[in-house]
Amino acid sequence: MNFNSSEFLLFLPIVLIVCALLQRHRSLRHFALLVASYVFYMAWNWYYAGLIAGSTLVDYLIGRRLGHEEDERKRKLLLITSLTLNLGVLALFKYFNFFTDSGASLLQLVGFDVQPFEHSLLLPVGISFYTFQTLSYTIDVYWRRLRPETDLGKFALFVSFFPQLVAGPIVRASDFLPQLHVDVEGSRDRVRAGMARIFRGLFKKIVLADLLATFFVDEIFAHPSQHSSLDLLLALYGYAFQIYNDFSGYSDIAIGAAMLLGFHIPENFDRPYVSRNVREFWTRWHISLSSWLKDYLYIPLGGNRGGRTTRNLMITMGLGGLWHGAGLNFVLWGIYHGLLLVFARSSDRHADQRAPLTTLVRERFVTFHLVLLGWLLFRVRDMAHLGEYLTSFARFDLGTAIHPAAIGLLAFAALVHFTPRGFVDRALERFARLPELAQGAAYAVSIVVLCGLGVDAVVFIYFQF
Amino acid sequence: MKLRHYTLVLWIALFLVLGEVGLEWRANRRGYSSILFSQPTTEGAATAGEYGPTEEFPFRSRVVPVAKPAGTTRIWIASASYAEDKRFPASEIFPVLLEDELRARGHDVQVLNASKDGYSFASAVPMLRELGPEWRPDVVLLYHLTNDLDELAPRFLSVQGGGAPNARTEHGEASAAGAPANEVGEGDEEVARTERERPWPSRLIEATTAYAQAKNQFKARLVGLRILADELPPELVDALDERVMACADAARAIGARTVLCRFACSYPAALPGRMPADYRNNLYRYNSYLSERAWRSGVATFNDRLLEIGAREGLPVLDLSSRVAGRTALFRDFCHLKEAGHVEVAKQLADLLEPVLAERDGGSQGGGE
Repeated sequence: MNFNSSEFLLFLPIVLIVCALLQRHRSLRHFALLVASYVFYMAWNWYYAGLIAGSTLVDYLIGRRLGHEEDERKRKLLLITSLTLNLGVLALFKYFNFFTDSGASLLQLVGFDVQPFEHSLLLPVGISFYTFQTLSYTIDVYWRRLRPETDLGKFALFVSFFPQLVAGPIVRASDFLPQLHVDVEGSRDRVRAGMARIFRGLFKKIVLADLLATFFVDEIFAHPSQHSSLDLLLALYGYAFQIYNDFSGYSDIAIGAAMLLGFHIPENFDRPYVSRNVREFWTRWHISLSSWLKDYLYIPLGGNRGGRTTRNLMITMGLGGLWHGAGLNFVLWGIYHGLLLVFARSSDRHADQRAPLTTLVRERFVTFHLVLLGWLLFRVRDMAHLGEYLTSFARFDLGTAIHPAAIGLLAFAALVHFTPRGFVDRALERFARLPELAQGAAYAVSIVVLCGLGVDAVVFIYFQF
Repeated sequence: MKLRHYTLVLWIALFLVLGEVGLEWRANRRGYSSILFSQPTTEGAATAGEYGPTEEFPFRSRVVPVAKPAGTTRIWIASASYAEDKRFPASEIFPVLLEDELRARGHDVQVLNASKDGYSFASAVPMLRELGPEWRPDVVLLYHLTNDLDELAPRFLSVQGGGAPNARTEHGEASAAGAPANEVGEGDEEVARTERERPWPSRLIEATTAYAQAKNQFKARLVGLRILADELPPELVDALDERVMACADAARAIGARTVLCRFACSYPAALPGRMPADYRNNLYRYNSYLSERAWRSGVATFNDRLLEIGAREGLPVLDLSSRVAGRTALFRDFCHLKEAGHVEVAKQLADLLEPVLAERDGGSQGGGE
């Protein structure tokens, strides 16, 4: 089920009402949420819900055994079992064809006539997200940072909680499970804040991301050789704002829906394109993934100790790229960011925002365009597509097929992103002070307008990861 | 969270419901049916019972019994909103007027108007298979195009996404975009099945007047801002060919003769200038991928392909296009007819069908088909 679908428009209020009616019965409420989460997932593909259930059961049982087991060898064996099973399923569905294709290509290069064996299994939506979520639980329990959850129902809800099930944010067990053991303190303010967050996300997704995509970005990337260099450049700018608004819009809706249900899930974006260097960018973009990679991969590899920082950064970012998709372009995107991070090691990842304006603008401009170059690797289908784009771009011809209003939308998306946060917050606060009646009317009109603006049912980009 | 915390949600729901009721009431006053208010049929009391559809007679034409009288030629018209045209009483739409015209010329014919709003060549096939054997048409006249273009254009021109190679398979697009023409038939069934399986909340919300109004207000304007395709991809024309042949095969299976009809629109490619803005907006309400130029040249390309199919398969092709296309006074938009248009199309089709009926009469005298 998509957040921007008609079904979700009915699904969410029904879930809210059911949970409110079960407010005094915590276990029943959690059970209802668990059922709702599986219904949410099964609306896409019912039989793949078995994968989530299987992953849940395995990690629940391993977590419990890890909690009791004192023998370090057995503990390590349990951890390896969990890693093997979780990553094995992920590899089968997501990477099997990529690796068999690549292997066959390599063998063909050295003269063997090998045909790659491929499966045609659909990639389960959200598998990368919930796999990382369950892995973090098992690893935390192994490291004794977290006590194992004894209630299977609560653990299952942690894995499958529908707001963040299919495209994050990747929630840590240490953040979420404790919330299941306390009674939720609700308030109308919380509902208002959650609703504002949901509509902010829908606006980002439907008005900015989808319209940028359908107005020109998708068409130009589909046929790069048919478009001018100027249009190719504008499409790349458009894609930068499309992917940000698409993914952060999803995160906003997820965070807002969780707030309505009385839960807190972590922030995933913080205006990434205002970063002054690439280190800072990775503290503002897909925060839950970058912090996951740091905590569970980069630091265990040795982090920045022992003079292996470069190696560790490249491994972490390369695998981070591969996490996004089974394609060489994603690996290259990860390696590209790894290289940028290596060169930016001396930069402060929390750069001083009080620097002179010219410095601020220059650094932001350079960082944004370095990231933009990375988005080209991210957006292309394969290396041939990248070649087509670059060859067409090298013609350096002007002229545009993009409608001026579409360019205006791109400028608006940039303006929204670069508007100082204080200004936006003040506007939202003013809206939050309006009577509930007025807010309700505004949201009702917004729903109708957003329905009209949804030209095509465009899925969230990160669903494919 | 307690129920009382969700008053904002309740206000939103209340405003949505009130807004919908208001819009439905307004729509009803203007003569449209809606979820809450049904609109009395456009048929007058005098004609009630004379025209379908009824439970026993699923066609929008003059009611006839299932049993076909000897010597009668049954013409099955497989078309869409342009032939069903609920804006007019059944007695004023061209399939019924065609029957009148042919009878006035001495032909013993019955017209079964199997046209439905939103139907295409693809949806004509199951209807022929389901009802054809019982109603035993002798001639199946195919008059489709716009809905096929609306269905096929997203499949051949959709350029969503990028990035992960799994994505296209995941969302079921692989079977459509770029599929070889000989696999299009399976793709069509996939589309039809998906439509049937769409969840009821989607169908309910999309049936609301508020949703329809929002789409009307925004969609056409937004589509006009896109980079649209300026010509039909050859694969799409091949897919149309496949669809036409699937209909012809279904007609042949029930012993009927297929008659193709070249599509007539108000602004064909040969007519200089652009469509009026309201025509173009109406076109973009349904078609999000083809520019006005592509659509108009696409009609010409399709009509040329019909001639090829006719020659290749030995099927008669009625050139309605050369007789009425471009006569803007006959049309109320890019393809739907005015009252005078229905009268004219009925006359022209009667003229064009004369040789087909004559051939059939000659054949029947010589022992039948």
